[in-house]
Amino acid sequence: MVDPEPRHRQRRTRGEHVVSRRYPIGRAVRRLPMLGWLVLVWLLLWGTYDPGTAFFGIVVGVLVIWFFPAPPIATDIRLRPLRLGQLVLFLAWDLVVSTGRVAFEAIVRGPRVRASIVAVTLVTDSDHLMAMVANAVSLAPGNFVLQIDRANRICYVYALGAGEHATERVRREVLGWERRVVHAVGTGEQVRMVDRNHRSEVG
Amino acid sequence: MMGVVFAITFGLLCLAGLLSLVRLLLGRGTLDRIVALDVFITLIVAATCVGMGRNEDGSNVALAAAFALLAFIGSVSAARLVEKKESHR
Amino acid sequence: MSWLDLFSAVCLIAGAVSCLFGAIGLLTFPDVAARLQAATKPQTLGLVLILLGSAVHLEVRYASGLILVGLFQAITAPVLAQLVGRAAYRAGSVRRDTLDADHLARRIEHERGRTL
Repeated sequence: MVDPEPRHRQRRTRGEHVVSRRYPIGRAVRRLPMLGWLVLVWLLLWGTYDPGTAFFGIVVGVLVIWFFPAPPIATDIRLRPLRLGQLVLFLAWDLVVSTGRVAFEAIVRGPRVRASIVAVTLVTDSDHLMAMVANAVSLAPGNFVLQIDRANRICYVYALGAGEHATERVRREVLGWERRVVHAVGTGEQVRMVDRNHRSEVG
Repeated sequence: MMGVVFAITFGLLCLAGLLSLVRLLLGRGTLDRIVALDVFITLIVAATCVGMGRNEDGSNVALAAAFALLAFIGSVSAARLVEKKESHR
Repeated sequence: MSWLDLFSAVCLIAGAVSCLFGAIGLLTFPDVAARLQAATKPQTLGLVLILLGSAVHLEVRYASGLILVGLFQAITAPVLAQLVGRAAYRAGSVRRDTLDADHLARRIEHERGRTL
């Protein structure tokens, strides 16, 4: 195998993307997804899909972005539609499982339920990924993220109905979600990072 | 037949609403009450949607969306307030 | 009763039962953090199922608004859980005697020590 180091470094410089204040066109382009989302919400709210509604949606969207600017976030997201669909399906199934488990705990154990708070250090280092992982974990059975330490990449996860091996189980679950999220929206380098970590955990 | 289904659904939602109101009254703490109120509002949204389905008239969609968002904003600001109070103590 | 009605009936009843489970959990669990679990997950699933069940009976232009409601709920529930959970922990409303392991306590001790 070839030593991956030089390629890896090259990727990183290309992957990390600095928010420019000098090029207004680039900034406008980066806000297009936000505008698209706002227009979509507008259309869904009106429930009528014609050019007129879309036009006013764009006008309102531009006004909203103009008057309530979101902080610029340097990020690099690469969408993989198939993996994203897989992630959504996983989340939906997980929601069903977690409902069943919470219902079980509520009815059978009730006041005698046990829990743990577990610290999990994530592999990747990105605002968006961390937020998405935290949201995904919060939907997973019996877990939710209590506190995030962004600087050290630590999620503090509250896990319900945990036994003795809770710490290890929760850690593996959270890292599994991270892997799925990164595979859906992460950059090539991040995918390689989580996969490498996964291999070292398993092997 | 669908009428019965809608009635059962509505009954179950009302029961759930009652239970969450009990938690709202018992409370034990502000945060418990915030959570209970959030659940109650979610149940209202659900009941609104059931009503829309029963009448086959969706003109209340905007109401449901507004309620869902308001519940979130209200609960978040209340939770933040509690946290701030704690940190000042 | 058509297949569509059957689908709608299953969704509605399952959603309502799920909401009910959430409310039961809200009553029986011992502390805020556990109650949050009951408040977020079964409620989200229940609401989404009920939205599905009633969207079938509506015109397309209204049904699309229901998608928006479901999306709001799915996005906001975890955020709310995190905020309230953190506030509860800081306020000491999470009962320590129900915890098997607590990695956050050490951390907060450390923080307190630094700020004092």
